Amino acid sequence: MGFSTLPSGPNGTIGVSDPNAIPVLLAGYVAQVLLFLVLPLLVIGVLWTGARLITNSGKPEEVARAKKTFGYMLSGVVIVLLSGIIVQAVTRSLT
Amino acid sequence: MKALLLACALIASLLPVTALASTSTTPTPTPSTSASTTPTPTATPTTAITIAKNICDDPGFYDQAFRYRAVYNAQGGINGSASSLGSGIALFPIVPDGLRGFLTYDGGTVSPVASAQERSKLIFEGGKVCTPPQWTLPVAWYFLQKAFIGITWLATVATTLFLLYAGVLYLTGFANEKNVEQAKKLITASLTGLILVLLGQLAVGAVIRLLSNDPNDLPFNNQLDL
Repeated sequence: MGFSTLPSGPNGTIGVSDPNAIPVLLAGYVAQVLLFLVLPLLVIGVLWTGARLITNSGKPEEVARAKKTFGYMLSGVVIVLLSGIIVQAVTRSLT
Repeated sequence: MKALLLACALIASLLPVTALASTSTTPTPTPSTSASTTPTPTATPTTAITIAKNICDDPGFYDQAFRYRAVYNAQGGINGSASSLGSGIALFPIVPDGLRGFLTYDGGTVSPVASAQERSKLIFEGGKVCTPPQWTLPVAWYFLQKAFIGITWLATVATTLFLLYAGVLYLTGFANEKNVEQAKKLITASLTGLILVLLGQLAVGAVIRLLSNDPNDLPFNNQLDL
């Protein structure tokens, strides 16, 4: 019976003995998180903010708060993208 | 039972002596005929391993091996003669963690072996992991660099995962603002940790270079990967 002892990442089975595989593996996870978690949350967040803006159109405090939380959402996307950039920068300096 | 074991041990200990005795009684060929007809003797795998073990115990080997740092990272550094123990090449690894750095030795030249398959073959055929007989500054620096690279990889992976988590927490801040505070803490901590790891390596490297008489002679100076 044959089985693989190698970790199975989103980009397929990658050997741990190959250091160049680590950034590929991480980039794959970052892409997965972006696609399956960040993107749906972003859509929900935009809809939520839109709904808040419409329902609280007469309340400037609530509108400001909705705008603020929308800013948090965009910051979250930037941070997730930043994590991919950081791993690429560090691994490039190592190899 | 003990008597049987003792008898076996006695026979085993006598075997090399009888083998030597039998070779001594056989007539030796004349120098002229042996030089012209007999082929050049090739070392058996056992001999190759013995040579490798002796080399491992020789502190001078490390000096020689470190001089090959320029070719250490060369891709596909396997030459034809280094492919098997049977050809008389002594094969042995130099790096204890067994990741890379398996070297071949043919009695005069040290060559790098970079292939994972070749490495597994070496271990299977009796390759020996050399441990440093002397912890000189270059040897210590070599192992420190290996450790640094491992730590950097670990820190990078951890930072990436924490940033991913923090990003998602930030993103969910539209529903719960407490998540944003937690995400800020996570981002600060993970980035500070990564910067400390990188700066720490620079600091240790600077100290080692200050301690070393000839900084250019440090092994695998900035040319090593995991």
